[in-house]
Amino acid sequence: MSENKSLPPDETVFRYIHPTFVKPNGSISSAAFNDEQLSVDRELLCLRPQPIREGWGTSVLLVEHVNALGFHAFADPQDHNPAHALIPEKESKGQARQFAAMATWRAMPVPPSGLEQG
Amino acid sequence: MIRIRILNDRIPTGRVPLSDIALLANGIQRAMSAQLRRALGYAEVGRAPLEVANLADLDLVAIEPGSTVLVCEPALAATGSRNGAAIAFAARSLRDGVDRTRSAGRGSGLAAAASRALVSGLERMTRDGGEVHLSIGNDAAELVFDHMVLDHVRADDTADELAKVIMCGKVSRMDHDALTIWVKHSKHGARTKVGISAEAFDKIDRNLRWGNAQVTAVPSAGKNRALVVLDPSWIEQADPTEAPYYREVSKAEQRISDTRAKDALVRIASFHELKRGWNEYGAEPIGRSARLDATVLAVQVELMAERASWQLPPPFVSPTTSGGVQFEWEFDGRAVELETDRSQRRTLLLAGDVQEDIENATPWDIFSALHWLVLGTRP
Repeated sequence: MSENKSLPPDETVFRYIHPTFVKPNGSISSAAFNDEQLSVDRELLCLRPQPIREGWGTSVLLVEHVNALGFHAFADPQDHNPAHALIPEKESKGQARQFAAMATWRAMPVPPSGLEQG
Repeated sequence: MIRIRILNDRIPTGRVPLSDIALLANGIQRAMSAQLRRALGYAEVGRAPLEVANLADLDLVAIEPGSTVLVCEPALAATGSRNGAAIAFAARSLRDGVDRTRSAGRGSGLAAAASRALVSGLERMTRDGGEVHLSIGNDAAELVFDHMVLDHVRADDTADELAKVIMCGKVSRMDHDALTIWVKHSKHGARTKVGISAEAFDKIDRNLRWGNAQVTAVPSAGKNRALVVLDPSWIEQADPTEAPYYREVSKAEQRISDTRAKDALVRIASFHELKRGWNEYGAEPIGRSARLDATVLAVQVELMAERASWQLPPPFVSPTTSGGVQFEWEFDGRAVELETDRSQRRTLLLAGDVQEDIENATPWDIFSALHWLVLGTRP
């Protein structure tokens, strides 16, 4: 199913942000981006750019910035999600922190009760 | 037999608090361990050899309703002739040490410190320093309370005391049906192993609550089962499919848990709500062992900061997609991330004018990173 096609630098991809990754100052923890391979969605093809449920946020990355960190984003359409894309390769903690720093909010979350940072 | 008789007209009648019994048992265990080390020719500093630990392993048993006697039984390993002689010698030394400590009011070295701990325990029980007499043998330890009656350990009115004892890591066996408590100490030298017997485990209510205290029982492959209560208000029900966890909770750690680290601990505990795939990208759940390891880590870091007199800002604590927990501190343009993963492997990131990843971080690495965070320099 994968077309293994590198995304152009001017495209944007987004990633849903769980409420536990949102710091008190509204920034995103690097833990949200510290994955074996980062699943994202191409905003261009996305039918649901808003948070998938209450309390969640949606962050956006410019592919050009991803490339600047030495990574590439590849189209990886799935049956249930044609917009799916991947940023493969294991990141270091430092790189995950850089991803978090350059991510911007498309939709800010409102933390639900019970999981707020004390 | 070690027989301790407390004689004092001023001793009030009534029930002996469990916390006092635990304190006393701890003093006996420590004193016995110290004297045995001397008797067997070991140095008085450092961790007790396993031989000594096994010899000195006293089980405080038989907190029976209405009784005036507590009985301590030494470990089976102590019944051999050489070991028996060593125990007898150590017991005499213990008695002498206690007598000297009581008369002089001071002493030095581990043995004296242990004796003081015993005396401290006894005096706390007698409240105003009543006379203490010891008669000592080598096959059991017996504590006799002339004026105090050991009452039922009732779930309702001893909840707070019991919670304190458990949280100090003193209780190792509980027979819930009989409402009897056993206290076991020092299986591995000076450390207290918190465990529950297989028999008792089978009887215990997995979701047992005494007042605000919740007891978490975890099975293990060995003879004993783990019993862990770090904070009575937020530990959730045990998941018997997860790995056992043995850990002593010191008083200092408990204090830190209740104060400086409390917010972080509450947040870590809340991660049990995160089921597989919780981040919509296949994230692993944050398992019990990861949460407990993070709990310990949070407390240790706060203790470290307290002892170093650092003004360490509270961490931002988050789950990780691989089933671990991450701490983030930011201060004066510098940041430190500390992650503990499912295998309890710790990874550090220092970010500021330098950026450095440290895999398999040691306690020293953590200290060094936080030193850099707070002070801007490496130690």
